[in-house]
Amino acid sequence: MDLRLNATFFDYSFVFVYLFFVIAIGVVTKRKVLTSEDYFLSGRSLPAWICALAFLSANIGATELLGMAANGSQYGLPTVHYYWIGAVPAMVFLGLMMMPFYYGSRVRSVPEYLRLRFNRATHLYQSIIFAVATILIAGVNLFALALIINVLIGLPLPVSILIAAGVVLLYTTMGGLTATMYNEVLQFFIIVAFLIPLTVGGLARVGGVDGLISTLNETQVLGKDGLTVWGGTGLGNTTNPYGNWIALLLGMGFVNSFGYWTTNFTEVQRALSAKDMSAARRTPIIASIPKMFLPLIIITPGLIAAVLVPELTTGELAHNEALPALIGSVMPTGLVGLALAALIAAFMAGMAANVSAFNTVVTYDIWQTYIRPGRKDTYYLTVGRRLTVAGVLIAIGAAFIAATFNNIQDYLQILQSVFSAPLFATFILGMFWKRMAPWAGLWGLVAGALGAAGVQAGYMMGWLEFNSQQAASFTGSGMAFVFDVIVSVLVTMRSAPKPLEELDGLVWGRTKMPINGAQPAPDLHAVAVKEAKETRQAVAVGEKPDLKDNPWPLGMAVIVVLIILNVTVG
Amino acid sequence: MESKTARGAHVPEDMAQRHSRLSAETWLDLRSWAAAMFGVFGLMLTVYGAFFVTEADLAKAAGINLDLWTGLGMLAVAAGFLAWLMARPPEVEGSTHVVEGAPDAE
Repeated sequence: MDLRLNATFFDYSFVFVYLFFVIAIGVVTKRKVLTSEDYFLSGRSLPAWICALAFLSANIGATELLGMAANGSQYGLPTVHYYWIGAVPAMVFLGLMMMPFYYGSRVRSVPEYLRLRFNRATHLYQSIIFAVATILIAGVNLFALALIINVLIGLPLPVSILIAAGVVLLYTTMGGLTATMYNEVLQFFIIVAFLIPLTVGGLARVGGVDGLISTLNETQVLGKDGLTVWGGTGLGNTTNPYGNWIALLLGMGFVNSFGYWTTNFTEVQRALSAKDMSAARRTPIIASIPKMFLPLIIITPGLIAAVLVPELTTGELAHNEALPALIGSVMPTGLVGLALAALIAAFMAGMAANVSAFNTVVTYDIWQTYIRPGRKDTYYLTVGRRLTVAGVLIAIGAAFIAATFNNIQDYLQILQSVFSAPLFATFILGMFWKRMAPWAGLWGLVAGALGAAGVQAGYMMGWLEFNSQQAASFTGSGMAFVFDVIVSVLVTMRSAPKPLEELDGLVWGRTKMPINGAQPAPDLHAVAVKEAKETRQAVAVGEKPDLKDNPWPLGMAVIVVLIILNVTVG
Repeated sequence: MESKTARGAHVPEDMAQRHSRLSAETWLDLRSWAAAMFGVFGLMLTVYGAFFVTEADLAKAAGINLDLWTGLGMLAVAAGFLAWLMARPPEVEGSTHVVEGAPDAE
């Protein structure tokens, strides 16, 4: 089946209008960039709703839209686990428990927290791994965009790679994180604006919700548990495609999702740019509300595609093509254009999110800390802009490499999971255990990565057996967590802890909220570090937030709704 | 630029406020962009859905005029952002590019 859309000039005009807006935002927000923190962290000035939608958007890249619709068309309703178990609890946890340390310590990146809490070795290790992984993923995203554009409208791969990278480069170098986040929010709106009519039109075609359910029950294309969330997750007779409930809660829910949502700087950066502590803490919690209901318009189209696109069941089309196939089948002229613009938006915003996290970490955590410390702020602003150019060039290179190696994306994902799996363990220990020694940071991370790599290698060599690559990755993450904790405890028992006064604002029991946005971050030189310590101590004493600004009621409400959803949809 | 005029001492104060709101800060406010983008897209879809829609288009969604309804919906969202922008104009921040004469608070 040909997936080529019959796009008219009218359809393309949506893409042109969208690209015009994207670049115009870069031009206008350039006015806001005066210091390096304006460029890398939006001057810590944004309201909670913008941060929250950008937080959500940074994650809805290629994988989310195409992959979740694909999972919906293949496995059905259990796919909501990725949202309800694999995202929402971790997002609420980040806002309630971890954001006080990230925002309260005035760090400008996630690796910088490691430098203050542990030592420079831990910091350098994590900074380099993050920078390399992030920019390679940006390249793979770029390649995925080019692939889908090629399928949908026939544009050659190199042309779309260069155009998309050029547009991203233009607005990220000009407007920095402000432009990136503004575009992420617009991207979120435009994606919703295209998914709602897709769902409504698709439902009309299959005879409404009742028609969809009865057809799926008749044809059984999704298997026995395709229309339940928790069905078939029993321990003795597991038939649910995502495994039994223990694997779901621990593997997907705890180890994988907490690691990603709470320590990935691409996400956390959006909350760090909030204007004050309360907004920073509410960012992931507010984001979790639309996240909870997104399956309605992302997974439902997958279910509809399972009915409307029989080629998915016969194997003529891959499940990854469920969403493009449904667009071609349901969307009329005009909305095809909106869909194209939304897909391009999703890919570009995903890439821009990676590029903006990359340039921040390389500028602050590598360049300013190890290579050229102590220069003026304007110097680092220039470096940041140049690194953005360099980052986009590397991403383009990675995209062309990805075009020649088929499996590079899979390997990258495995590699990233190997290194990011232990992070959550180290952060949670570091934030809540005052005694944890500086060197426990580095060795915990290394041991965890080795644990995860061991499981992956064992699976690939055939020494260990798992039902799927996913099961191997969950087990690997679990091993990483356990190894990290054990080694961290062992190293802490054999070495000296950090003096308590150096931990102000960094660990449980040494911070008090709230803190306002426009404070300078702790500086990097020996002298300034002392000053920064005083600043941290000074801001560590604050008043209690009033009810409206307190993230706890909101966070608890989200959890209650989440439980109700899980029980009722069951 | 208009914000420069607003900085002049001889401009009446309420004029200065209006200028500063409409020129710099409004275009730095995301709500204006959301309103503009949804306005343009909404208009394009509504006009197409109302005047140019074909039988083939309608058949794709079992007779529903998706273009028209999505267009109207997007126009409504644009109007919503505009109303929000009017009700709560962007605050002028207390940083270096602040426009003098602008109100500190509502």
